[in-house]
Formats: sequence, structure tokens, C-alpha cells
Amino acid sequence: MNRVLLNAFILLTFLVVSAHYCLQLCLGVNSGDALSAVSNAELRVIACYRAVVDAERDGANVTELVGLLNQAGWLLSRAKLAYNYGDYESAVKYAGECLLMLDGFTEHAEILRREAKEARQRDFMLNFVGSGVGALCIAVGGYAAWLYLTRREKSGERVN
Amino acid sequence: MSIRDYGLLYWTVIGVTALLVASPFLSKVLVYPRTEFFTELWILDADRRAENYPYNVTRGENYTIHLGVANHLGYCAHYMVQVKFRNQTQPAPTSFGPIEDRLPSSMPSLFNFTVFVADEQTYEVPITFSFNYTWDERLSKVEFSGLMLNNVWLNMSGYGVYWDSGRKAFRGFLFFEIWLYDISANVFRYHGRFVGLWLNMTIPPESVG
Repeated sequence: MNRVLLNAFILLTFLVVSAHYCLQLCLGVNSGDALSAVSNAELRVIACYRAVVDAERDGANVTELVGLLNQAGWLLSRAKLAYNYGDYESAVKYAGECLLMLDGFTEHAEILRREAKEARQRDFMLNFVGSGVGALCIAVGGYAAWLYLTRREKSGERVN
Repeated sequence: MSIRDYGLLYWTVIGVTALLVASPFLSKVLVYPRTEFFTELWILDADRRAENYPYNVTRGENYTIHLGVANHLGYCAHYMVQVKFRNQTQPAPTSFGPIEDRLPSSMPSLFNFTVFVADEQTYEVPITFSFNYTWDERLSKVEFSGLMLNNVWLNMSGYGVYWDSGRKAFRGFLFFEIWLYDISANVFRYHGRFVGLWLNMTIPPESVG
């Protein structure tokens, strides 16, 4: 008797689980999955945007990154629209494409930022400090040379 | 001849050389700071001119315009463009007063798309749109079913324009509001700017009884 009950329970569990998966397969993506996909894509876009702002602040050329971000942003917009219209499959598809497009984006932005920062420091040392100190040296050296020349001339006049 | 006789020439040469060497330094120090931070927003026609904007619209026909954004905010900006539509009686965004006090239209957005523009850069988006609508002769009203914008179908059910007897047209205003992402607050705020086009929804002769 117990064995029959156990078998029935196992069969029932199997049927319930199968029905759940079959339903999901037939109905496609649900709103929760779609919302999660869209939110993930949105968070990624924002994170990438922040990386671009940081890179730009440190003087990096962000034209290429901004171009990519615009393409990803368009996909995210389409994902959001699809979600609003209840087309969850398309929402997940566009959000996935958006995420794929931004794969490795922040790392690339960080590399550009670091390179730009180093270049900026070099530029600062060469152009700002270098030229300022150089100009000061010329002024001081010129003055010293002038003093030397005039004194030498004076001492020459005294000897004569 | 004394060395002092060459003093003027000597100090001129020293001064000019010092200035030449200091020019990279001076170019960084003597820069007039930016004091105005703003965004430009515009619409151009299909040929990127401000001449042949679409006005008389036929159902299902494609029209192209260019929406341009120029960023002078001092940092890479994240904008959201809200596409909206209204008739003559529905609320428009405010156009007067300080730009930061202006309010967006309370009409719902048909579609939002994001635009990223680096500092001192411009971005132009070609926008191709077509309307799908029917004419209700009894109510003298054009009722919309959808707007196709850059191959994205937007639901416009519930939208309509009435006959404007003064201008003898079924006029509707397709407009684009720009919102700016506030990076510290993590929200989009209305940026006080919008552009749009008044369009006349024409009725095909075969529809007129």
C-alpha cells in the first residue's frame, strides 16, 4: 500500500514539475525574467556610462566608447519598450544583445583612462613644469650672463 | 662699443626666448575658464537643412528628419529623448522662464531612447517615422493606431486630432523632450528643452465620401 502511495507521489511530483517546465516552454519568458534582464542591462549601461565619464575626466578620447554606448542604449530602449508592451521574449533578446555589446566595456574604458592619465602626467611634466622651469632658467641665466659680461667689461676698463 | 650698448637687444632676445619656451605653460595658465554649460537641441530636414520639414503627412508614408544634440556641459552627457505626441488642446511643455524651471508635457511618452554625447561633441540621429490613422468623418477626427519610428512600432491607440477649422488641418505635434541623467542622484531630470514638428494628417481623397 505504502509502495503504491510512494509511486503515486513520485508520479505526481514528476507531472507537476514537467507541467511547470512545459508551460514555461510554451508560454516563453515570463515578466519576472524579462524585468530582471532589462534591469541588468540598464545597470550595465549606467556602469559603462560612469566608466566613460571617468575616462573622459582623465583626458581619454572616448569617441569610440560613446559610439558603442549609443548602440547599446538603443537596444536597451527597445528592450524597455518591448517589456512595456508585454513582449517579454523580445525584451530579453534586446537586453541580452545590449549586455553582449557591453562585454569588456568597463575594462577597456579603464585601460583608456589609465593611459590618458599617464599621458596627461607626462604632458604636465613636459609642457607645464618643463616649459615654466625652462623659461625661468632662461631669464635667470640671461641675467647671470648679463651680470658676468658687464662685470668683465668693467674690470677690463679698470685694467686699461 | 660697450656691452651696455647692446642691452636692449640682449634683453629682447632673452625675453622673446623665455616667452617662446614658456608658451606651453602660458597656454595652460592663461585659458579663459568656461562659464556657460548648456545643451543644444535641433531638428533638421531629410537633407540636414532647416528648409523642407514635413508638414502634410499621408498615412503610411515615411518621413525623415534629423534630431541633433550638442553637449557643452563639460562632461560626457547621458540624455534620454522622450518622443511624445499631442493635439492642439493637450498640454505642451513650458517654453518660457528660466530653463531650469521649465516643465515637460504631462503627455505620456510614446518611446524613450538614450543618447550619449561626449563633451563638446554633437550627435545627430536620423529619425524616420510614419503614422497609421483612420478618419472618423462623423466626429471630424483623425484617430491614430500607431507610429512607426526608426522601425519601432509605437502604440498610439487613444490618440486623436480634431479638425482645426482656423488652419483647415488635422494638426498634431510630434515632439522630442530631452532629459538629462543626474549621475549623483541616479535619475533623469527634464533638461528644459524640446523640439517638435506640427504635422497635418491628410485624408486620402478616396476616404472622403
